[in-house]
Amino acid sequence: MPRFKKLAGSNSGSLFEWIVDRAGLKEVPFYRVPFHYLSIDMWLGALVAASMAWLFISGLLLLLYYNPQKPYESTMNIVNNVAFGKVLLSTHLYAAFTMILTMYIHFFKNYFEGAYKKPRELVWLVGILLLLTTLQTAFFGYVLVGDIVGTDAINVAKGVINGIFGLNLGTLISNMLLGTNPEETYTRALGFHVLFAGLLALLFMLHFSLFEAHGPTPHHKDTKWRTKPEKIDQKRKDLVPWFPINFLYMIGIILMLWSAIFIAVAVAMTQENIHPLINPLPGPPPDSPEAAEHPPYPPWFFLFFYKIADFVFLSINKPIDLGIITIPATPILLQAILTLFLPGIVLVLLPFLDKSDSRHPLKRPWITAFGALMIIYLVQTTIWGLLTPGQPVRIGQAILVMLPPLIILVIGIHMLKKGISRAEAGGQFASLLKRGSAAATAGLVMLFINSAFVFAQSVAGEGASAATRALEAALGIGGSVIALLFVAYLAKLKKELKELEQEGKTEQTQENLQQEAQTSESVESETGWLNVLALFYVILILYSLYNVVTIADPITGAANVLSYLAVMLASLYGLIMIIFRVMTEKYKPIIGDFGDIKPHLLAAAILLLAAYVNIA
Amino acid sequence: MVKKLRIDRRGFLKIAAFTGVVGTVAGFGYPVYKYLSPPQQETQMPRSLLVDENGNPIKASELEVNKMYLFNYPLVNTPNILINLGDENGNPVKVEPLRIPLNMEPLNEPSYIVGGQTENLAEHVPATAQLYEFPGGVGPSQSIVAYSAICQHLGCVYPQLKYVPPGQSTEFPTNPPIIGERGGVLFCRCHGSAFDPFRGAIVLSEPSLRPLPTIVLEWEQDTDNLYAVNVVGPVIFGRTCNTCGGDPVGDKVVVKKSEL
Repeated sequence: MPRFKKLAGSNSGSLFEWIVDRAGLKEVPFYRVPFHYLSIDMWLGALVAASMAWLFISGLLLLLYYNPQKPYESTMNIVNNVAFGKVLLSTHLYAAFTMILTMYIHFFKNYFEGAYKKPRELVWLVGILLLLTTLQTAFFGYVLVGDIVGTDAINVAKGVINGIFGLNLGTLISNMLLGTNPEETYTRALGFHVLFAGLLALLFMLHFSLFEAHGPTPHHKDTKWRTKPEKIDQKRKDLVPWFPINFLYMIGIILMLWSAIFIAVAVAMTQENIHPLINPLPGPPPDSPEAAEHPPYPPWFFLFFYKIADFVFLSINKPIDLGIITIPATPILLQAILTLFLPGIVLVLLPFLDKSDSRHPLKRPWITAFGALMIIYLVQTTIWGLLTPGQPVRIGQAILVMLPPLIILVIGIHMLKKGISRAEAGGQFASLLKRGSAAATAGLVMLFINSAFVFAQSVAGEGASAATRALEAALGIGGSVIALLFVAYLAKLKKELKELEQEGKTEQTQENLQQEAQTSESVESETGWLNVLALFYVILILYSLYNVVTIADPITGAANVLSYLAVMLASLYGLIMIIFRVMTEKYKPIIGDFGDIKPHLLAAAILLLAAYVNIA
Repeated sequence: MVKKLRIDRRGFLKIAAFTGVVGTVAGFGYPVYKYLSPPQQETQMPRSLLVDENGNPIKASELEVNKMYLFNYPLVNTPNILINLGDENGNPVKVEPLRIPLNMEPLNEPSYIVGGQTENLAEHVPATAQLYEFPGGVGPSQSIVAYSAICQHLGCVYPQLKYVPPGQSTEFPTNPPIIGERGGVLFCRCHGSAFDPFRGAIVLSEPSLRPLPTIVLEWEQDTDNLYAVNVVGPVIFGRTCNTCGGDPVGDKVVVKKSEL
């Protein structure tokens, strides 16, 4: 170890300490949090950021070989000729999928927990912009491959734009975005992909800076779901230093997520007959015979709107003269207004619409119901669009699928709400759910509602084949199940709130925590097993390194390379979690409980999947 | 005792973390390094008939003396100069085959071996030098040659690199004035490299240390057609191999007359 005593001053020894001192890592002005805040549900944003980081690394490297004049050829060149190009391209795609998924999770978590409330309105607004920018970037990235999936996405997008804005304005917009001829299309798509990615980076920095202005929203266990205190008290005794504790935790999150992405791609690569929408490798070229078997799909994250565009009963098929302006024939304008623009406006205005002093979902019943409906409708229409792409939907069908969850949510939340305002009464619906009869009741309600709709539909003589009707009934029931689960979860939250409020009467939580911290020191840590595990991880990393470097052909063996890289990341994650845990001993002794072994179970899961990939 | 054990654990974990981080960085560094190295897409050396802009074969006997002609070979992005070499009066000059070393010492006397001789006649060519065969001129007067138009120094191309026929000055002051054996010179205005067109484009003046690659031509006596068949000498500047990094030209390459 080089000694930097003279350079660093009297109290630091190693090069590492010199870097820490000179980089000012111990004085980084980030918000500090209590130890028990270091759990994944409080750091969902880090998951999104970790996916984004890999997208930037892999995307910039992919730019080196991509040629918009020969989109498909150059993509296939990356896949088939460039060493490790297959690894890079497939993980870029899956990192984008992961980013979209984790972003939805991050978004809904903060939605239901009311994290957008004062003083975090701006974080929320920039977050909504990030959501839109991400989807936009993802669309252009999807197009760039130039395979049948990408070209279909272009055609669907053009159709949607024309359907929303009418032929004249729509053509203008799609010409601006994708040019007028095929040669222009890919140059523009590449330009916009990079442009939106750059915008994404800027917005992310803004989002993060605004977040750091007030820090994470205090945990509802600390605030009892109230909006106050608005920030984490930085004088609390149980705060952990940002460096190295929080820093290590964050690095751990990044490594774990990357590992999960890599292993997901590796597993997907070993699956034959994988659906083209989630295939990590490009599909056939648009002019090949195989392309004929491929139904025209948009990217999966736009499937929901693709189905909503099929709601023909909302179509404006003839121009409407309003005197001042004439609305041209716009078959999906109303759908877009109802499902994109209006919810968008609601989301933007949310911090200003909801000014209550509670973050509890049941104290904001309509916002909670709206959020739950967004989730249910997103899931329903996505699956619907996947199974029956482009088939027109009549009003009866839409009601059959979409009304039952709405009814269940409204009734359920209303009953729970009634209970919450009369605290001791408890709410009949909630107590039913609490008891074992909940499921039976729910099933009966659901069946009743659904059969009523099926009956109404057959009386009206609507609906197509039996298969379609069965699908719609299944979708309706599926949505109802999600709605019921959601109501059940709310009932649980309600019970917890009551307990928290009773606890609140005894107060002094902080002192309790301090006492806990003191008692914890007397419990002796059991850490011998951690050393053995650390050695195991180091061996795994070196073994994977050996395999990555000595792989004979990184092109045909891409799945193996990916699995070894995933093992490497998971092992480093495990190693870092060991160090994290050893460093945080004084906050909570290491006793080998579930919390202590959880990271290693995750790493073990990756190992098992890697073993599966290498056997398959 | 307990304290000592704890220090050991710290030390062990430090080493483990260091090894783990270095291992993982290496595990990602290696694929990135391999990814960044462009794949070698070596194709076969084409055999191309030289044609004019209308697709009619170029006739060797109709090439103007001391005029530059341009064509791409063996790839669509590797330009070459084709010249029917002549003296000051415009009479074609026969160009002899030579054996030329790949690396030259231009500050010394130009070094080459006259073709066909087994003895080492040029004093400046070390016995260990790697030599290549310059085939000499082709055509009715054995005066037609073709060289890569990409300078071997830093890759300047035509028109920075151009042929100055005997009797004309290089319009770029050099001291002493650089001219080849017969008076003509292939001169690069970027940094002053000079090559002798009459002797296989050997280096007359620094900074280039390698001769220009020669395009081997074939002349069909019956038809008077010209073919480009191979590249000899140093590898074309900026390439890992003569057919790497571009699309090969087809069976026919278009020859354009220089406007200079």
